[in-house]
Amino acid sequence: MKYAYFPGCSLHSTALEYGESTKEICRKIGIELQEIKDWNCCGATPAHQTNRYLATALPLRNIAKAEKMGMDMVIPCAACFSRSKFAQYAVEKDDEFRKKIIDAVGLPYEGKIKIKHLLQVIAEDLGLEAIKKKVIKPLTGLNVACYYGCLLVRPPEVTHFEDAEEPQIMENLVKAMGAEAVDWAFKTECCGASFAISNAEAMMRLTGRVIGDAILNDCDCIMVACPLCHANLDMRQQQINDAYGTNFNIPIFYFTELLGIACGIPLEELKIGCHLTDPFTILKAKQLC
Amino acid sequence: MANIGVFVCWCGSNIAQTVDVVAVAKAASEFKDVVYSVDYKYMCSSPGQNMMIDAIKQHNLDGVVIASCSPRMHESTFRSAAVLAGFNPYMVEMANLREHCSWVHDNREEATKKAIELVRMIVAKVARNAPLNKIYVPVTKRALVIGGGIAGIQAALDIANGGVEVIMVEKEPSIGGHMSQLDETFPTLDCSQCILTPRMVEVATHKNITLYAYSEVDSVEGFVGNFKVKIKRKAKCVIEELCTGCGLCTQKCPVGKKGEVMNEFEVGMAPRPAIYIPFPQAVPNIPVIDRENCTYFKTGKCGVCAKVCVAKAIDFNQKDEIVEEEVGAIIVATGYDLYPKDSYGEYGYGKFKDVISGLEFERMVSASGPTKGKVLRPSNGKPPKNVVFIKCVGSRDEKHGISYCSKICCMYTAKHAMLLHHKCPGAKAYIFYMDIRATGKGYEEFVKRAMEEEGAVYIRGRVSRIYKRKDHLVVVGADTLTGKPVEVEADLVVLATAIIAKDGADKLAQILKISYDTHNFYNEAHPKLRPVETNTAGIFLAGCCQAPKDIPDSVSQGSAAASKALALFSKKELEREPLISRVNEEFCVGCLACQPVCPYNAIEEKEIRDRKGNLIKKVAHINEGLCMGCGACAVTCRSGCIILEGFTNNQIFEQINTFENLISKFEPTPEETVAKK
Amino acid sequence: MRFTKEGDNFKENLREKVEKISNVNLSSCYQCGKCSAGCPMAESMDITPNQIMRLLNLGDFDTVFNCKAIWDCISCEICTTRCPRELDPAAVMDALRILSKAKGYKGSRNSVEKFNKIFLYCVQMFGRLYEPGLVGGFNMYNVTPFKDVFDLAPAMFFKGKLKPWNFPHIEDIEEVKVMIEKCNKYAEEERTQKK
Repeated sequence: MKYAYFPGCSLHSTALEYGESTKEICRKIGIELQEIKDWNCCGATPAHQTNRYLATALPLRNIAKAEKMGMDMVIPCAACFSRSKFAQYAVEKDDEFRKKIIDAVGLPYEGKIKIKHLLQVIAEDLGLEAIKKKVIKPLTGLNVACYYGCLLVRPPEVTHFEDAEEPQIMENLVKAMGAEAVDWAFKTECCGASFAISNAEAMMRLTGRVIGDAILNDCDCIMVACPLCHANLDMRQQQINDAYGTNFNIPIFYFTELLGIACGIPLEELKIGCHLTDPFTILKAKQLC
Repeated sequence: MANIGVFVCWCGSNIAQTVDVVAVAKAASEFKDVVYSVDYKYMCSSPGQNMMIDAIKQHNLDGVVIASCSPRMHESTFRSAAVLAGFNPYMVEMANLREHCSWVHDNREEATKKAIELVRMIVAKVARNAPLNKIYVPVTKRALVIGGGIAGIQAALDIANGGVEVIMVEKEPSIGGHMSQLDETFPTLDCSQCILTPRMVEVATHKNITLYAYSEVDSVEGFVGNFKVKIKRKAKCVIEELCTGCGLCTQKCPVGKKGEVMNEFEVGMAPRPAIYIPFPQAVPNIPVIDRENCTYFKTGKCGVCAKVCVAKAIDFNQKDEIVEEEVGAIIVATGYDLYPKDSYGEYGYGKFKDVISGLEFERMVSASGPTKGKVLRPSNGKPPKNVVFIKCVGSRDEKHGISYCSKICCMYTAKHAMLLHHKCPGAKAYIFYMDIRATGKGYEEFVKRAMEEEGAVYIRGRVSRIYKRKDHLVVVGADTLTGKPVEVEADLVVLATAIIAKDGADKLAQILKISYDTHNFYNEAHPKLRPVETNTAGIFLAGCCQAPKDIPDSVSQGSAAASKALALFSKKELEREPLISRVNEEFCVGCLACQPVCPYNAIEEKEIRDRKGNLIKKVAHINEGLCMGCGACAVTCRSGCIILEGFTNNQIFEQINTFENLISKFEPTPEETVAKK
Repeated sequence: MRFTKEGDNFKENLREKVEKISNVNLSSCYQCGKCSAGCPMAESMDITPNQIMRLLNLGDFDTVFNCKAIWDCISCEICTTRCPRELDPAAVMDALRILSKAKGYKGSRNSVEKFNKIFLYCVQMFGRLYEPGLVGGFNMYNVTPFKDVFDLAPAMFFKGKLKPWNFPHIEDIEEVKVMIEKCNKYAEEERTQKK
């Protein structure tokens, strides 16, 4: 299984763990990732808030490159995934717009390839049965709150991601890993990622209520599929505690990290030590390290 | 030689503004066969019609052409007037100078030219008309009412009281419909069962009504006045004539004590046994066996009900039976279903026990319901503190494919708030709404009472989401009037789900050959002027199967449909237009190529025998009662021996020939072509 | 609010521009409020999403372009997902941000817009994000030089997440710059196009 790989700007830096664990787990389970040469930033939130042509052209350039490689595209970052799906959607709907965008991008584009998030590639394309076979250390007794965030699932006509209100793909993956999936209410609520730097107070309120509901429903950790969500949930807990008087201290894992642990990849290779909120206590308690 | 009279109408200014009607009348007076030609302001008026009648008598006319509006408008008017003059109505034809001329053209000169030619063509046709006579078919003076809800019950009683026999077919084991599931009805808070059950008993005991409960319509053949209906009577496995309705079998049945089967009448909130009466006031009060869930039918063991039945009324060998009935009119009153409450992901996809539908709440507050009239949270059986009512769940929601308003939810939600206040002191009602539609008599005052006296809090805004927090629900909405987001900690949430067409409505429509819309509601013949008729003669509608409505409107429609049926039955025979196909039996070779093309199954094979009974030949025969005059057979017939009366080949060809002769008149001359450039 | 005979509210075909950029039929909004109900930022907004749709329909663009709400929107798309009329309030918010900034409304000078500017400048320079530059640059521009500097930055640095020496570089950066130029040109054309 080969895919054109678009890591996104953060996977080599702020979301180092995600980049490394993705590489490790894909190698383990047999997914070949071929990084798109000279990919550019997808534009994230600033592009679509400023210029709709830019917001479509930036991701479309990467998609055109992947199309040239003749492979479907896999994206680990939910924001980059969202922007790329939006780009595909926008040029399908409006012919005049499409012409201008392709002119700007400067590469041929036919819309032949599919764009998938890493979760879809692992849980659907590869399949949960194949995953179960690779699990050598089931995460028994670990209560995981699966956090999808907003951009993976919405809007449904753009992302085509399972169900916009009650997705189960992460929960099914958790069960395949041998862990318990917690039923909680805020799994598709926004963490405020795009405001992490520009409007930190708003971001902290949103992230705070997500973590709050997860803890209210008795989970041991929260599992995410987006580097921005991880950054907010993992790195800001102390700031939130200071601002709101809470005492959050819950580890946040990427699904690739948990999958890596379940498939026996050593923790140092997954770079779990890079988390700001201590992940080791819970792992030790469940005898997973 | 024919004596044809031409009457050109001004139609006020509708025709005269664009067409020079005086010139048309003058030109017509010079047509072949025309002996009288005149123009008049309003031919359809009383003086106009009298003018036609007088002219017929004075000038000994044998053909009349009214050059005015569309025949769909006034053909029947002029033909009826002709009858008064003792004149065959089928010798009257219309030339459409309005919809086909003045309403679609601007240029007066060209429109007048066209009008003259239109009149000339119809004159040519009328010269070839033959006098025709109406066809009379006998009427079976019996009515079929499909559906035993309040609309069907009203229709059945009205027809029966009008002296006509009625057959009522009801799918469920008991009649009563959704109204029997209600507690109190708006705007009077009358007890629903108290006003309904006397009517139900009347239906069951009326000497003119035959009730087939637990039955369905299987097929319908025939036409208005002469329907042949096959009714499938599902096997109850109980002999009706012997059963006393004591109910002992339902108490002893082992199924259902553990909730294996849920009672449909209680909207799934209480269990029922396999042999059951849906509710205590059921009519007929005869239990039925649900064969799919009955232990005896599944495993061959049990049969407790038969053992305890004193009247020996249980018969496991009973089979479904087909009964054939002949009726003259059919009234469809099959009612509605509700949009499933688990359709909204943002409201939990039905996973929250404390999110219920309006009908479930209705059963809860009913004294004979699953909680004996107490409002209790399904999750823990305790009374709620905060109850949130959400209106427009499904209705007015294009995303869910329902663009319409369900009409009754605003009223019953106000009612629910009141009932909550009466039955659950200490509970508070919060109602999220977009609008309040309280259009009936006393309705606005009723809602006002809910707000002012019964303490309901109305919040204008739709609810975005419901989620669970610990032991209660959080309802996330907004108040658009103040612009503030609103959150309610709710113990119970009631969703006012949309009214949708009954499951299987489309199949029934296909059996009856009536039309239905994209939402599977049945189409009325005209939305304003003919609300209870369909486009299929002899079949009428009543109640929610046509569109969402409340009980007063359903009852009104039931009576209206009954009056239509009684009007049909007031004559001994039905008049039919003679504009149907006819086979010339001399030339017909009996190939029956015409039979499969007839959409109305009106063509049969007929044997022609001599006096000794020997077969001479077989020919096609067209049933006068079924033929709708579409002409498909006439076109198909290889020998040309089928004609369509009123539109014979001779008539049509004469029209075409008249026009063809004049084609040269309309080609532009070389000078005109150059001038245009 | 006043509707004059001259129809001042509907000058400058702003409504058409908003509808074109967002691809939304504004008249279809029947003010049900579901967007405002689900919006996580509604409680801090000065005008809620449904009120914004209302003001647009009534032609009061000044209030809308100057409001804080459009810059509070986080584009989480809950409104678009749940709108019963299948409208797209998130896209309308984008259109309003684009037009407000392009027209230089005072309301558009805020920290979110500054962040956007720095971010896109990074993309133009390097083709990819240079995160230390992004955060540092923003702090300077926004005159909050010590934000996150003492608590987060060192932690991230020691975990290896912050690498100020690692400037991203792509080979076809010139083509990316050309692409950005063209996009700016098309956007400007669309914005200034007369009806």
